[in-house]
Amino acid sequence: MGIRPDEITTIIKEKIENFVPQTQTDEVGTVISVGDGIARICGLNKAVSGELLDFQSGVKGMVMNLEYDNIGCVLMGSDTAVKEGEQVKRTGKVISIPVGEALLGRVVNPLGEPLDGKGPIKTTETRPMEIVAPGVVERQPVKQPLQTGLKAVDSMVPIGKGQRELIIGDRQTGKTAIAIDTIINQKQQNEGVICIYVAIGQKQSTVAQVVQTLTDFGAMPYTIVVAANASDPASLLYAAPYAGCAMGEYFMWKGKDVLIVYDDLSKHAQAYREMSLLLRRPPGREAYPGDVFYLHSRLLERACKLNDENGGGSLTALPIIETQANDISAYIPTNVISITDGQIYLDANLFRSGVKPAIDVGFSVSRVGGSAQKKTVRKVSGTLRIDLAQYQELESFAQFGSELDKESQFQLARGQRMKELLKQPQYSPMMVPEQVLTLFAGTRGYVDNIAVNKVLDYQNELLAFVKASHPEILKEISENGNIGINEDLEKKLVAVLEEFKPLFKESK
Amino acid sequence: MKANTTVLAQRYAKAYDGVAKDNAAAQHNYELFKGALSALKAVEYYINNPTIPARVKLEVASKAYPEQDVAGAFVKLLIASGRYYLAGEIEKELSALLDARLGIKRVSVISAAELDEKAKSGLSAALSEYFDSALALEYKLDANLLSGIMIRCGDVLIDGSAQGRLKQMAKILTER
Repeated sequence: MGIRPDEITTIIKEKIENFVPQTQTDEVGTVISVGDGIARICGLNKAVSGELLDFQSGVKGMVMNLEYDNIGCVLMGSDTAVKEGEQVKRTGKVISIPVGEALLGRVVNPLGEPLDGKGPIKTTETRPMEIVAPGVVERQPVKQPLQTGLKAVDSMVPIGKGQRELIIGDRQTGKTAIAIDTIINQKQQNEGVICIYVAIGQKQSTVAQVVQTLTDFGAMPYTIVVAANASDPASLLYAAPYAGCAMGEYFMWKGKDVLIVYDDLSKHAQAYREMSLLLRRPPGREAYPGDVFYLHSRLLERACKLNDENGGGSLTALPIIETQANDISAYIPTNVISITDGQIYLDANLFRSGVKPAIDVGFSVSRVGGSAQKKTVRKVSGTLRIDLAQYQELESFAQFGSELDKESQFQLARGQRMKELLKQPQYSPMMVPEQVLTLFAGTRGYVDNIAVNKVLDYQNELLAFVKASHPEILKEISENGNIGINEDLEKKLVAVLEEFKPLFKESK
Repeated sequence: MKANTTVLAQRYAKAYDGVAKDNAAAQHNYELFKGALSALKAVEYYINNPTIPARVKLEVASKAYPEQDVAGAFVKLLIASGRYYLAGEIEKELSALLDARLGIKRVSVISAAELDEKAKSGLSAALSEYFDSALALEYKLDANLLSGIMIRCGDVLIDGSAQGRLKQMAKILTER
């Protein structure tokens, strides 16, 4: 693209002609000390907590501490530009970020500035970064499912629109993969769900990889990526989830469904701890400040399902927490577990043994998703979670080599096959009818006589067979989503599975 | 750290100011304190020297400022508690407290060129009305303003200078 000097000259002339000089009245203070991303300011007696401050050097800051004779302010940029004695102006507004449709498909920082080199974001609307969550009267119970496309999640720990479901586990256990799969799945679900991926304190290469994956799977047109990278100041890491949430709320209040992933809140808490300690706030457990619970509760409370008078939009939150050595009883994990409506616990041992997604059914739970689950899925998954949990217990018992009774042997064999059936490769989300068909086959014992390592082959061939020969069954399952599996449908499913039984054996 | 010294200075200043029964007494005490500081200026180095015992410091201070008034007692208290280094800050805080007592606001008027008497009196009247208070005006010169004036009263900054307007224009031209 060539630079046209005459056009630039016209723009400059136009701006100068339209410029109206005004005498400005501002409230100003003076920087008395600066360092580690924190500035202390003398004056500005009327500044309010959370207010945006404008430094003479062009850096922006946010008021965090209002003390007897000075203000503690976190800088939203490099502190090297700010100097002692510099003037600081009040802006009179809390931090607001640009919101709107123009952000879709873009990668932005927590201040809404583009990071993807695709030019400025053309939007005029802004929303305050921090607002009070919608109240009880503006909400309605979670009642619609949000499909992740993962058999294990949709059947055992279902997520509803407006729910907050924590994804927790050690490093490298597939936490981000579950979130990314859920985002990718929204494309085939075609329900118009807007997705926001908030990367907090991650490597730029990791964020680039996520963006590339989302682009490759065609998920970027309905997704916004908010990135505060590892090298950014703690203040930006702190602001990132609130900024992402504000962007999501714009769509929610317009009646749309939004899915937001906070990846991850452990680093968010660490960034807040860093800021708090530098602001000389008293440290508490694990050196986190006393209000670290409120830090996350006020963020996650903003996820909700609005009632019909308010447009019926929803904001579903999938916060991610990274544990150390499977310790879910650490401070931040227990805090976030108690705030959210359930958790998907990923186990490192399961992951290493090839179970992907490595969901530990014993520790995973969804407190409100059950009521939002499609009836067809509920019918086939039934006692799946408890059965698998029992199987895991039995499996560890069977390792001692003691002889088992027939019932236990059956339970063990069924459990092994169900565990295999719930495995799913990354970036391969599955539609609800396919999940129902697969789980129906598993729970009705159609895989009991198949070798464990052939179970996934059975599933793939069964789905291919049904899609080719009986596509009407899948359609009927889809249409019966809110009715469940009636006798008629059940008979049809059994008939199809019986028809496929000899075909699979023949193909061996 | 400056913030901590200011907090301490404010507490001492408030206590000293609280001794006065009325505004006239407060003003008198303030003048006495300023006088005491001025008298002790020559021995300030010894008073702030941590290696000299407090007893010796008090003897030196008594000789430099022999008056037995409230200011004398106050500076001796500061020396005995090792807080004489706060004296300058305390003086500033006392001045602010006195202004608050008398309802006076201190205003700095910074201009690019010297203002004539007519402009000064007009400005004084306008600013008294704007701030709705008695004012103590202080005029300063700063050629960097190019033209116009800049007024500072506490946290409030009124920028009517050419420099300020050029900054506004630069902001508009560079914003995306």
